[in-house]
Amino acid sequence: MTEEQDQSTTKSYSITFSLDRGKFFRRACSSCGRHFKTEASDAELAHILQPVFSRIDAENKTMKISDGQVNEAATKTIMYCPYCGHHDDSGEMLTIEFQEYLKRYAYREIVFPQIRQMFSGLSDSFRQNRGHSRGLFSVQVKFEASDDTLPPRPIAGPEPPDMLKVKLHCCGKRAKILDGWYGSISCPYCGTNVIPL
Amino acid sequence: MNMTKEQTATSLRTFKSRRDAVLHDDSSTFEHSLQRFVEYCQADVLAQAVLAPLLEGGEPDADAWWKENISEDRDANLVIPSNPDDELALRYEILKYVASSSERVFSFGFHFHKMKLDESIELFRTIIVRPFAEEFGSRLSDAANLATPEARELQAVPYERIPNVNETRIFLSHKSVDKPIVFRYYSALKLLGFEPWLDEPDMPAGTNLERAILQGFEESCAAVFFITQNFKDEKYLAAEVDYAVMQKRSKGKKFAIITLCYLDDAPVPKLLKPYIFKRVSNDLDGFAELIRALPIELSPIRWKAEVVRD
Repeated sequence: MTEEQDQSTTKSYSITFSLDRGKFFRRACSSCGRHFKTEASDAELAHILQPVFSRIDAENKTMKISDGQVNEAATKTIMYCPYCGHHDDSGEMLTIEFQEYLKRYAYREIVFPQIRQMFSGLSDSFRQNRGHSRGLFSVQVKFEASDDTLPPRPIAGPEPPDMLKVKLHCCGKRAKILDGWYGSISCPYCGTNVIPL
Repeated sequence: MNMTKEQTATSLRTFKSRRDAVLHDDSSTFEHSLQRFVEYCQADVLAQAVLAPLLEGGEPDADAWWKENISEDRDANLVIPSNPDDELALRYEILKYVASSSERVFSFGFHFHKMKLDESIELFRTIIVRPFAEEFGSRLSDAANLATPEARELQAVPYERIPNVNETRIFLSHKSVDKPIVFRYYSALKLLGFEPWLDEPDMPAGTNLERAILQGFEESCAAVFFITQNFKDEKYLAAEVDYAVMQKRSKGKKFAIITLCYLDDAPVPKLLKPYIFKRVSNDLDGFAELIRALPIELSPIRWKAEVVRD
């Protein structure tokens, strides 16, 4: 996981995704909460991050994500829940666990350094003013910029090799659904009703 | 190690939950989280499958390592074994060592000139816990993969591609004298799992021949005509050609007319010529052509029942 900064204000982040042995990425329906997995490609994974990071850093209009090179103008990818058929942007179909991972990552790599930088500036300005007011009442304020140790980097996964692999004959892709799920499902990619045989 | 998919998933889920708690929860609960994490490592079957082999040659002496590395008069550099197995084993023992006494994490921070407990905890997390959790998690994942072989994938077919039970037969049209050839096709189709229709086995005694043939066509997705020197476009065979063309008009792409011609100069009925027509030199060629031309395909490969039966 690295952060690179070029001469402009553009920052690039690369994030580790945890896939299972079949290279499937775990998702959760944003409506019913049930889990399923989709095939992971670099472009698709980059697309997942785009809305998440846009929310974190709404000011940063030039954010790019490694491999996918997705920008804000990119078309949304709609994904369907296999169980309830609910559809939403693929960036919304994420597990709570993965959302927590992203939040921790963003806090450590983006928010925390900004806070530290802000307080560091504040500390400098207090030092220049010597922390004194010169009125009738004299108030002394001491301010020390914290050199807090960075929180540990979050770790993604490991992803268990669970669920049943399904080849979807509507669009030729593959997905994974819960063991013991009986009956028809919606294809996560195109929404077609299919019956696992 | 025998574990079900559910057991390995539960184990990894517990690992992730306890790892994240020890790495990221509020520092006021660190001691408790560390103890819970160590408990998982000591008690979980999958965790022990990873850790036990590392400790077979004897557990690294965490107390000695601590005295050697963590003290005021030592420099900040920690001595960690270069061998990945030894490193993982040592980190595990250090975690146990610190979990057994809450003051140790403070002295760990103090060694790095951290005066606050929060900072000591953060440093201990970064230097000791996280590298252990990352490597241990990776090895747990490998162990989980080994413990649970992947099941064959299911085939998820759209509704409109699933035929009704009474529309997938394969009508085999032939002259009686060619029965030996046709029966070879019938047997091979049956073995593969298709449902061929042949007059003899599919017509109980006393059945009206015309009606039975018509019903056979209505339940079929294909009609196969075997053209030999014996074939003549007359009587029942002529009726079957007519029925086949009718079915094709009615069912469209869901019905195939397949003509297998065993002779170069055999007289192919004019009505069949617009449809799939193949000159074949042997049964295997003909069979391959037949399978290729069918509008249906079979379900996925599976073990035969008797192979997996105890």
